[in-house]
Amino acid sequence: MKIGLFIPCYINQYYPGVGIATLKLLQKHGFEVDYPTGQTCCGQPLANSGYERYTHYAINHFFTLFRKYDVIVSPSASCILFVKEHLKFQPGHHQKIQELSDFLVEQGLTDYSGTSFPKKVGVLQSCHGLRGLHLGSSTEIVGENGDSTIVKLLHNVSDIQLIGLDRPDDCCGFGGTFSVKEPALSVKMGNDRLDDFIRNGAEVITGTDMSCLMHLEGVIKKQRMPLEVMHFSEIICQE
Amino acid sequence: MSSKETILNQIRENRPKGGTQFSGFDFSPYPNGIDDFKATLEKVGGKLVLKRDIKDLHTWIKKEYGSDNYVFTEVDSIVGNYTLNEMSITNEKLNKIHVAVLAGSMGIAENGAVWLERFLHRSIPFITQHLVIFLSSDAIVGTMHEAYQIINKKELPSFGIFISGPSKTADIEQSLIYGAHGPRSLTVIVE
Amino acid sequence: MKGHPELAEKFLQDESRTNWHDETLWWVRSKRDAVASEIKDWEKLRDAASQIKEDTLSNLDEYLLEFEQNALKNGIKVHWAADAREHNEIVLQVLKSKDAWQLVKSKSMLTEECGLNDFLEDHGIEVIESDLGERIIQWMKQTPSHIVMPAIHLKKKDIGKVFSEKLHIRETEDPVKLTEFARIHLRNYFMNTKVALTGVNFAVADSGTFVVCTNEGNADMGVHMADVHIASMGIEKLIPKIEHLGVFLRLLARSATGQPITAYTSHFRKPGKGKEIHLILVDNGRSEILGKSHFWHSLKCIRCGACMNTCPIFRKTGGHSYDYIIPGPIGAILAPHRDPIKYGSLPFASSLCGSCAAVCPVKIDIDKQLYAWRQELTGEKSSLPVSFMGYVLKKPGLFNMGSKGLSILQKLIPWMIDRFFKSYTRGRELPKVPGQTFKDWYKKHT
Repeated sequence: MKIGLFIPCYINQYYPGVGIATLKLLQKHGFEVDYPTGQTCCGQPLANSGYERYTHYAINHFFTLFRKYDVIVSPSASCILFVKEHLKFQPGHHQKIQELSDFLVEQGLTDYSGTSFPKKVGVLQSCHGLRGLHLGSSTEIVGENGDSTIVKLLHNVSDIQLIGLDRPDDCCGFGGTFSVKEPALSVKMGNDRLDDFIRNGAEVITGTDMSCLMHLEGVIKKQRMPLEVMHFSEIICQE
Repeated sequence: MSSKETILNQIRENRPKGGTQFSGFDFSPYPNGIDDFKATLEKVGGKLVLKRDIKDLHTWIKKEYGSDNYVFTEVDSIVGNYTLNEMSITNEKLNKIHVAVLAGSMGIAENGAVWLERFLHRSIPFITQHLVIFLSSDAIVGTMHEAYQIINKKELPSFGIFISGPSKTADIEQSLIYGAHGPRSLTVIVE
Repeated sequence: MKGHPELAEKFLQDESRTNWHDETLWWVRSKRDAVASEIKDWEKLRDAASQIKEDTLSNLDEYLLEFEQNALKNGIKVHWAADAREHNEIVLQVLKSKDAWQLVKSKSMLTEECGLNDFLEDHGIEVIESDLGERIIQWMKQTPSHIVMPAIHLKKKDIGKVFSEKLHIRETEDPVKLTEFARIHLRNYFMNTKVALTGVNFAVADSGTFVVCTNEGNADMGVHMADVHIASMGIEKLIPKIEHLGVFLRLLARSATGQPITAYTSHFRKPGKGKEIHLILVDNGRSEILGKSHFWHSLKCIRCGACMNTCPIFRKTGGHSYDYIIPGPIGAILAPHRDPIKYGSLPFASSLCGSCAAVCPVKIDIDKQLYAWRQELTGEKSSLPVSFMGYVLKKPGLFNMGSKGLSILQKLIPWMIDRFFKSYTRGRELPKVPGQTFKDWYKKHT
């Protein structure tokens, strides 16, 4: 199985550590991983702003770059969801496109007891991952109860303490273009989310989407809150 | 062209294709014992009393509602002292009803509702200060699906109503108040 | 013209009120979760409700004719109103035919949509809203901020004050006392009214019956004591069969307020002896929405308000920030049909979290429609800058140049970049520029 690694534009730009942890994690598990260096961006910011009609360049380019891989994996649920939706109708498309935690859980690679992370960790269930990719059960749906993919990966990390939240899956307020179209509200939503984590004793906030975490980190820094954010790959693959 | 024609033509031109008729599903049952019905009825602010626990219905009414004046009844076991004649009903006369005693034909355990149809005037269950409904214990079903199966067995009445608990409102800062415009209390007497 | 961002920002300035509003609506959402979880078939019921509505809408003309035929047989007078103005004229006509100068109303979002109250008042008719929340709003000369809980944005203090002014009573904040005063005040109107109006929650084609779901008792009291009952109904409120009511009535109140069912679920099949029922079927743009492939699912809506209770935007900025009669997620996808310019900001007043679609009892794809609206609203004009940005995404050379450029600028003149992205940086810091991009690292290490 050859994995095509897709590193979203903002991770490439601002959080290369997440890309590095993802690559090393997959390699540690013995996968052959390729990173096509010609990748750019999936086009989601354009589409969410109402310009989906200009994203065909990005999608076609993506398809061409990645067509030779069996599986495409990325440490970002929202970008994966976007690519999946837009490649659905592309003739010749056949690959599996998966967010990283989803891939690891499906492959049965859930034992990280050899890693230690002695912190109180709160999980941010990103909306696209949760309700779009079903990486966990959302509180609205009756009868769904299982742990999310990210909890399945973190729960046996040594010394970790996973804390619960008052509102497990309320939106953090990033929403891509929403964060600039409705800035006051986006910041308020971020603040409220962080209050929930703080009230419940979190020291670290983790999740599947660095975009949400970037927004929260921005608020944390501005408000000087006693919190830090980390992508889950950086917790289970510490160098 | 009439508005009716305009509307229907526009619908015919625009209606989407592909809707399929719903053919039902095997719904899960809901327990339909008296206790199940009582639990939900109490959650919605109503009260349930077993007829066999009441020694004398008239004394009970006097005690519960402060007086036995203006008791309107359509249930034989309670002799009311306020009668209304269909021919000479007025709003003023209806407004005097303090306690109305009506017969329910079905109770639904999942939501504490009672089905009523065919009573003297449609306003009675609303205008009365207190409502008492008699219900037979073997007329309690579990879910709304069963209720409609029974309702569908014969022609739908001209007016039928599910009543679940007393009238209520939460419009003032979400404080739940019983006795909004309709009855202040609802008691179901199960026999 | 103020769009959602400006109105929202204004609302957010009063942080304690924002938090109170958010807590209140979240509490209603929690109540919904609690009662929904008691119904094992909840998700199956949602599928059923969605399917029934899709069938109805796909065959709406036939079901409407079936309904009309049966309703007429039952003695209900059926009117057809192509638009809001026609609906209002019909109501006025009925009033005039009874020589009535007063109308007692119970809650109806459709009549809000049609601007009925203002129209009638312009024609000398006194309109009395009898639903407690609506009466309060009417007295305060405001519009409802929520389709089920119209006065949810008001505190006891505000309500006590208006009661004191209107009813000449000593000011009180006690909800029990206030409700009692409203009971006495409004009962007078019920006693003396000739014509009363209600909305319609469901109309059933196979029996010419319609159903009204309420809690306070005002809707029924009004119509049963009057001589004439006017029922205003959007054409999309139809369902094919009586037994389908089982599905909807199990979903409606649980989704709306966390009750297993409303206090009253009245089934009107025939008028009472010597009385009249006038049912007005209203189109007002619905048949047009029916033809829009991305949007017709919004017509499945049963007006429960669950989407509003769960939406973080609604909870934290209130219904008035949408500036449309129907606020919240459902409002954001309905309003732009009426006026895409005035309501153009509403589909962007969302983080696309999808919670609304997950609670919707009839499974409207609200989040997908918000996204579809965004495409429509930018659709007409071609945008050179955006087109260029799109093009850059297939040119790794250009893209990398841009990426490098941004890093350099952010390192050299961070304050300028902050200012460029000022709407982002008002309450947040931009992420720091790392020593190298992932691409840089990859090229070095492989």
